Amino acid sequence: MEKRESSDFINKEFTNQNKDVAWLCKAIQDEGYELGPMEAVPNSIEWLNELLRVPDLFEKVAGARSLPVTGEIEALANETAEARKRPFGQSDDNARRSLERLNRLVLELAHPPETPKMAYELVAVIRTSQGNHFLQEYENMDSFKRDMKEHREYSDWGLLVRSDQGKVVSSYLSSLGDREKIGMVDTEPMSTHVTPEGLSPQQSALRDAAIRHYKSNKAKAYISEQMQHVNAILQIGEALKPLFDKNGQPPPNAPLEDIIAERKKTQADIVWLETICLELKNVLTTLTVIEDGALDTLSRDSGRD
Amino acid sequence: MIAPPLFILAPPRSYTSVITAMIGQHPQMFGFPELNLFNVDLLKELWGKVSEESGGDSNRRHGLLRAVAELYAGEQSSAAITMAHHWAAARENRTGGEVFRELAAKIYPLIAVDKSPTYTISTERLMRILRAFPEARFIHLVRHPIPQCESVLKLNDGIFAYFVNSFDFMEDSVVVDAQIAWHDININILNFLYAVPADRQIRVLGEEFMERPPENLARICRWLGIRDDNDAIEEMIHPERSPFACFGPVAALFGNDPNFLRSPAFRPHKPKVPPLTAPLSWRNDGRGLKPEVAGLAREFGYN
Repeated sequence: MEKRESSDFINKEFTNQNKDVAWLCKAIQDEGYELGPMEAVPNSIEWLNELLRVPDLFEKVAGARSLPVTGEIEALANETAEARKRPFGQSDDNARRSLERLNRLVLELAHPPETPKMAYELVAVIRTSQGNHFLQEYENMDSFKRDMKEHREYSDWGLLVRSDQGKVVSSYLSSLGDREKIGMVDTEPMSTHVTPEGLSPQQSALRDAAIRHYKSNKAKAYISEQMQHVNAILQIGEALKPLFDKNGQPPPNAPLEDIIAERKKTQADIVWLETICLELKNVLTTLTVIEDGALDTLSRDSGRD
Repeated sequence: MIAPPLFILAPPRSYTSVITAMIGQHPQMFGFPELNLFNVDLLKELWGKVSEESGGDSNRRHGLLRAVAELYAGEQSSAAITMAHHWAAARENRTGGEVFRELAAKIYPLIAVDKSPTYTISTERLMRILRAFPEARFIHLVRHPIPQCESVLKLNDGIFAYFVNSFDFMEDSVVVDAQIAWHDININILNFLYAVPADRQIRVLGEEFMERPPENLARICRWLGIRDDNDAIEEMIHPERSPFACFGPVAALFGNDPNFLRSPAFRPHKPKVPPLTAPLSWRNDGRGLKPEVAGLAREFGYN
C-alpha cells in the first residue's frame, strides 16, 4: 500500500478520483501565484508536495482568489499564524503538519476540479465476543456500520478511527439497538477543526456559513446589550433625577409607583455591578495564581544558576 | 449506600424541567438540577470547552454547583457556590459517575432524579450512566415533534439545533431544522434503552402527563415502588417548592431551563397537539415532517 507523510499528495488519490497531476500543476501555474524558487521538477507530484511546504501559500492563494474559507481552514490559519512568517524548516513538527494540511486544503478549495480530495484510511478496532481484538480497514463509515450490524453476534464492540486525525469517527456496541439516524453529522460536535464525516465540501461550507450567521447575530445582540451597560451609570443618575427637586429634596407628592419602580431598578443595577465585581475577582484570582507560579519558577531557576 | 437513581431521558424542551421537579418533590425522591455529570469522563472536563463552534458550555456547571451548595452548605448563596467550586476542584480527577454516587449517598435514603437533556445527544454519554449505575431506572419522556422543535428554535435563537448539527442540506442551501435532532436524539435513547432491562424503563408522553398529572404521577410511583397515596401526589403537584425551582445566586444562576426557573409552578392544561401533517413554522419551503420523523412520532402514539 502506498504510504505518505502528513498531507502530501499521493498518486493513488489522482488515479482513484480521475484527476491528473499535470492538470493540477498547470492550473496552479496559470494562476500566477508568486511562489518563489522551487527545487522539484515542474509538473510532478514532488513539485506539488514542495508547494505544500511554502509557508505563506495560504496568503498567496486565498488572498489572490478571495476564497470563502471553511471552518477548518480558518482554524488552521489561526494556528499557523506564526509558522507562516518563518521558513518551513524552522517550525516544529506540529506546526509543519498543520501548515501542510492548511496548504493542501486551500488548494482543494481554490482548484476543486483539478485537486483530488485528501484520502485517508478508516481503520476499525474490533473486539470479538470471545474477547479477542483485531484491526480491519473500511472504505467508509457505512460499510463499517453495515459490517458490524451483520456480525453483531460475533462482536462486542468496534471503534472506527480516521487515520489522518487519529479520531474515532464511529463506534458500535452490540448491546445497543441499531436503529438508523437521519442526521448527516455526528451529534457530538467537539471541534470546528474537523470536517464532519460524510459531508461534501459544499455541505461543509454551507454548515460553516450557517454557524457564522448565527454567531454574527449573537455578537450583534451582545454588543447592543453591552452598550446599554456602558451607559448604566449615566442611566442610574438620570433615573434618580425625577425623585429629587433642584434642592436635592424628594418632592412631597412623589408617586409610590415611581418610588417602587426606582427601587427595583436600583436593585437590578446593584446585582449587575456585583456580578461584574465577582467576575473581576475570579479573573484576579486566576492571574494571581499564574503570577505566583511564574515567580516560583523564576526563583527556582535563579537559585540553580 | 445509595438508592438506584432515576434518569429522565428526553430531547430538550420536552417538559423535562417541570416533570423532573414534580417527581423530585415526592417525599422519597430528590430532584437534582441538571448535573451534566455524564457528559464527561472526569469532573475536571466539565470546566473545559465543549464546542469551539457554537459555545453552549457557559451554564452547564450551575446545576452541580447549586446542588453541592444546597446539600453541603444548606443554602445557595454566593459564598456557598464558592465552596462548591472548591468541593469540585478537590474531586477533579474523579469520574462523573463517582461524583454522582457521592451526591446520591448524601441524600440517601432519598432516590436521586437527574434529567440533564444533553446526556441524550450521544449513546456514549448514556452508556456512562449505565456503566456507573447498572441498576438505574429510566423514563423516556417524549413530546410531539412540531411543538418541541418550535420550542427548541425559540430558545436562545435555536442554539441547541446548531450545537447538535441539526442541519437539513439541500442542493444549494441549508436549513436549521430541529426535527432532525428530535428524531436522532430519540433514536439514541431507543438504541440505548435496548441495553436496559424492560422493567427498568418506561415511556411517558409529555402531553398526556400534562393533561392528567395525578394519574401519570401515580403510575410512575407504582413503577418505582414508592408511595402513591394522595399526600405524596399532592407534594408532587408543587414543583415550585423545590430548592432549585428558582434562579440561583449570580455565580450559578441556572441549572435548569430559564423559563421554568422564572415560572416553576405547575398549571394543568391540555397541550395543543397538531397533526403530523401540519406545516412547519420554521421552514419557508412548505416542507413538512420527514417520513422518518412522522413514522417515529406515530410509533410513540401521535397522529
